[in-house]
Amino acid sequence: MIEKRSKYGIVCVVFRSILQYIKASKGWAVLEHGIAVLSSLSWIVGILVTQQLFDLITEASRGYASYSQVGIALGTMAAVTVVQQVLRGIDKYLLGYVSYKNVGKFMSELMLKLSRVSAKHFEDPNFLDNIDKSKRCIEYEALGSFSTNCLRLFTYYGVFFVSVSIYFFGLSPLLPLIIFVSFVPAILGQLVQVKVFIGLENESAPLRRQYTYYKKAISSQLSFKETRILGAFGFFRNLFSNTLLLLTTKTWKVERKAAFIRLILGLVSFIGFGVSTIMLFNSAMSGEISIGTFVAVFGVLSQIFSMAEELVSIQVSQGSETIGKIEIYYRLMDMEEVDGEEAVIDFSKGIVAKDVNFTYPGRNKMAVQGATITISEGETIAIVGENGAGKSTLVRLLVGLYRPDNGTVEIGGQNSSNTHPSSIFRETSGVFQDFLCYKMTLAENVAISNTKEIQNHDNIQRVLQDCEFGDDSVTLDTMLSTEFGGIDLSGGQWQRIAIARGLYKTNSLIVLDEPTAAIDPIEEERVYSQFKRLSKDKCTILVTHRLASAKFANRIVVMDKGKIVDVGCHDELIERKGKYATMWEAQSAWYVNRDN
Amino acid sequence: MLKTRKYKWIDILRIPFEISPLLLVVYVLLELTQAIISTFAVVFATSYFVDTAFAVFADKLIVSEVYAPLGVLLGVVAISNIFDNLLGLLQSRLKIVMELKLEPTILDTRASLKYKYIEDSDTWELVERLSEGIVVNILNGVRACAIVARSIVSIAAILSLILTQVWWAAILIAILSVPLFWMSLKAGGKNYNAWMEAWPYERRFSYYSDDILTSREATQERTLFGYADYIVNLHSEHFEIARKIQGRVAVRTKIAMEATGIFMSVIALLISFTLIKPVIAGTLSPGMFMGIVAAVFTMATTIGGTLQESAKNLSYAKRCMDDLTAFMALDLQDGATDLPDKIPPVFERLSFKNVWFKYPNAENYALRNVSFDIEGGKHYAFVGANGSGKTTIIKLLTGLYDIYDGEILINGKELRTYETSTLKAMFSVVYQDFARYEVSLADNIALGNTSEDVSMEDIHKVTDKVALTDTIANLKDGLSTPLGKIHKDGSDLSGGQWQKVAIARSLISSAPIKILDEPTAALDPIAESRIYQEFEELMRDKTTIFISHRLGSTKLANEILVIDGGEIIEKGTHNELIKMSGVYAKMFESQRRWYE
Repeated sequence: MIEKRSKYGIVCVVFRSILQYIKASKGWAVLEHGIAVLSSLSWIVGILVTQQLFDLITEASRGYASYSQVGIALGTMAAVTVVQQVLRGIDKYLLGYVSYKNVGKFMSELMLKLSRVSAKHFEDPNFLDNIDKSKRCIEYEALGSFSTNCLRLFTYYGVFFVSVSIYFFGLSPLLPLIIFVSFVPAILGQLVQVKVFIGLENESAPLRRQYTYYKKAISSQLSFKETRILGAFGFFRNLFSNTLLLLTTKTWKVERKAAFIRLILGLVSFIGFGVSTIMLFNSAMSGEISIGTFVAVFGVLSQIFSMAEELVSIQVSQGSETIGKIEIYYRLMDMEEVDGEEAVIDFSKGIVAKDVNFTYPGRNKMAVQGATITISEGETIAIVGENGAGKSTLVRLLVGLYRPDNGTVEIGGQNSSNTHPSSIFRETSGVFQDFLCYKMTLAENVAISNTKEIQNHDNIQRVLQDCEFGDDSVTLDTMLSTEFGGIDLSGGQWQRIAIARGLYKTNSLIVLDEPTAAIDPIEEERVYSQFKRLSKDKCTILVTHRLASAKFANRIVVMDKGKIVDVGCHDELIERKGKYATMWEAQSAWYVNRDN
Repeated sequence: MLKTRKYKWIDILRIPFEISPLLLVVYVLLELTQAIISTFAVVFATSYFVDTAFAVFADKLIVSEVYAPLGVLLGVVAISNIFDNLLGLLQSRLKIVMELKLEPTILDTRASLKYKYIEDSDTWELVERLSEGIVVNILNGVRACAIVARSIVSIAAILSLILTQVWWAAILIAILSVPLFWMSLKAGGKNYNAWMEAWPYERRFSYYSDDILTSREATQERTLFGYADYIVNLHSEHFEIARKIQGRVAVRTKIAMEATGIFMSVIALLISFTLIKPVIAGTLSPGMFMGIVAAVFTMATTIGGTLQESAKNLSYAKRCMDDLTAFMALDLQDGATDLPDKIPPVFERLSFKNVWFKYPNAENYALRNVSFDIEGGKHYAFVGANGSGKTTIIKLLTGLYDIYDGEILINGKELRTYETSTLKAMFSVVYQDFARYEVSLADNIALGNTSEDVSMEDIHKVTDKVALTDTIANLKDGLSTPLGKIHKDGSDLSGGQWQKVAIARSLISSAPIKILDEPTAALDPIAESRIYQEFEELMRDKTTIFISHRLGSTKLANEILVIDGGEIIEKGTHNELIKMSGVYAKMFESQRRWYE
């Protein structure tokens, strides 16, 4: 445990993010920070040439320096200013360029990682929340700018403060104190401000959530028509105004407080500034530095102060918040992957599940408990049960989407817990109730189940015909989304695409998880007879709560509260008068002519 | 305070001015004062101090003489600091008053929009974009205006200093700075165009990452079909395109900014050159020289960047004004936010007479020549496949769409002549995706009858009827337990419990017509038949309309209307329709056969 924590300690996170940054950006990282060093050093050159110019103009006013001498000094200073500007411009540009480029790379890495962790985590709201945080951490360049800023501590700020200190020391041994004096108020200020604003955030976050929600209750697409017809506008509008008032009052109070604190801190800062000026002035009076130097240094004094502030604010405010997010991101990236041996799955051996238990992460109730079932070669089984009985979970275990907590599932002779997913899924396909309507082309929508064959338009066309998609006006490269400039299809057409998708992947095992929940009876019948034809000689697992459609299975598995309560063919189950018989009664009652 | 009119550039200032004239004027004046302080005052204070120090150094004055100018110098810096702080505070205040005024106004308008806009993705996007960004965009616009004004004043201030020394240089610079301003503003606007150009690609890659690669809904297909690599590639492709578009413009604007900077530095250099002679001639003190040179170079290095940033903000603010113009031009529904009538209308008969209806922007008719009658106290069922037009009929009934051909008569009077509040009192709808309001359980139910004060007794009566009593007993604070996630101690209900809440909501309403819109899509068959039976029993003396793509429960209806392709193809009682041997009989038969 201690070891684990230290892996995500600040030092480790900082170090790791810097390494990741360098690895991702390579030459660009070197260039970016090389420019940062130069840009930082150009400050001191700027002070030097300004000092020289001011000394010369003082001399000139006394008649000791010529016009051309001053002119050359002036030209030098202007040149240095231009170089400074260009360096700073390039530096800023590179900072944005490199960190935005990294966003794409980091996103890809994250998404590929997610494809390698167990599918079961996606049922855990905490995990989804962490994905969201990690994604935002990358998208808003928090991760990228965090690491590059950590590096900048040395390459930019470090170089700046060291070079300025050395220069000051050269002028007078006491002057480097200015650097120290500039940091004290900056650090103080940041600590107090962060505290004030974190306090505000903690207090106002729940209010803001409510405020956003009330707005949504009135105007989101989801509840718009209902709120209107109920006449619930007034109710939510009231809640909305009250929360808005509370929220703004609170914010204003904090802003005022913060402004006051800033004023006090400004005073502290100002005292530091005053002390520095007096030190400079004394040095000038004692002849240690010239008046020109005094003016030149005085000119950059406020910049030294704001630089100290910038440095502290980046590290403190970004630091604490971002490090938390980055830690979440690294924990995600370090999650255990679903791995295993490559193996040949032989579906003639069927699927054998023994005493399988499964609990979703973050929950304490078992979703599937003690399930034992064998599916033989070419067999069709149906799984029935009420909502929440564990039907879908059992299927996911049987096809290897989830690995059991206890017990074993052997798919085609291979244990699903130690076989590589690519082997397990090589010949498994499925059609699901909540199939996706991808905002991509028709071809992609079908062939996404088998992306290696995405260019094979003949095959795609054939499978679409098989599924009676039959709309010639929709070509294979039609974009199926109005949002991306394409067209929209009807529910029935999408359903056929979903089936075509399931079939496009060569399979020996096919899962049909409530595939007809959204269609009318005639279409449903058509689809089922199609399934019958297409699933011949294949292992088929059908999940349904329309019992009638389960009849075409060889065997029916009845589930209740996570357990398999009965297995048998339709007639056997009716005979036994158990759960299945009750459900059958309830459903068929509508269709037997009770009033006749 | 917002009206239907064209919003222009000037409205970026006018809107906040109308909200709080004093605040805006004080803010702008303070910005301008700050411009004077940071140029004029600093230059004079510097020269005063340097020249005095110089005199002291040359033994022309005694040391103590220098403390006054030192004090002035520090004082100027201090005042400048305080002003910065004040400006920040004023901006916060401006933001708050605008939020307080604009947010409710926008929300009220949103709540009154004609329903057609809610289902139109382009308008919806406009509405979302506007309400999300209006306050920040205007605020940034105001700030940008202030900064442009401040830059002009700063330049003018410095010019006036130079004017006394070398008048022609001042005029030359004044002329040169006009194209410079123009160039900077234009470069900033380009950023915005690039963002618009990259936007479609950004939507694509965020679709891939958010909806496919990291979403819970896609987990099954993503894992089983193993397409993550393929989609990650698509993501990277689109990301890179978007990045390059923005990168290209970033380079160009960066270069433009550098060019302005260098150009400005050259001008600064020229000015400084012309000032050397007066110093040698003794007409200009070295202190004044230093002050002006420092001020001119500081401005040269910063003005390009600030102007560009302002231009970018102004572009966004302008776009926001265009959005506002479009938003305010949207049609509103009269009485949209009214409460339902207190006394529910007596319902006798509703007739559709040859109704034709087409969704806005749609090519095909959603309803074609639909005619039917609904009589008070009877039960009706609308049956048909998804997309056949069942839900469209309900949308017309409840007044969500009012552009149709033909007549819809309620009690013999055209529907469109009814007040919205009367229609609200007429119908109570349980939608398939009914709202799960994140307020207390009691409020969730009481919202069913917003025109009256619902007592706790009334609520208990309906919760008893829908069998929610146990659920309530198990909640921490019973009926007053907040539901959902926005409250700290919010509880959540299961899908079935929510369904009961929705029915309780309909039950407590005194509307004479109750509509149940496909409540069963996500339910198992037992729960489904339970709901239909219960609903029928609970609503016995009311007029009810069931909408479904399932048969069976339709038997409960006095009349069944079969809808296909926007037309009513059959109607009659269950027995009549079976005798007719039409589509309904075929559908019923196809399902019945399964249950034999």
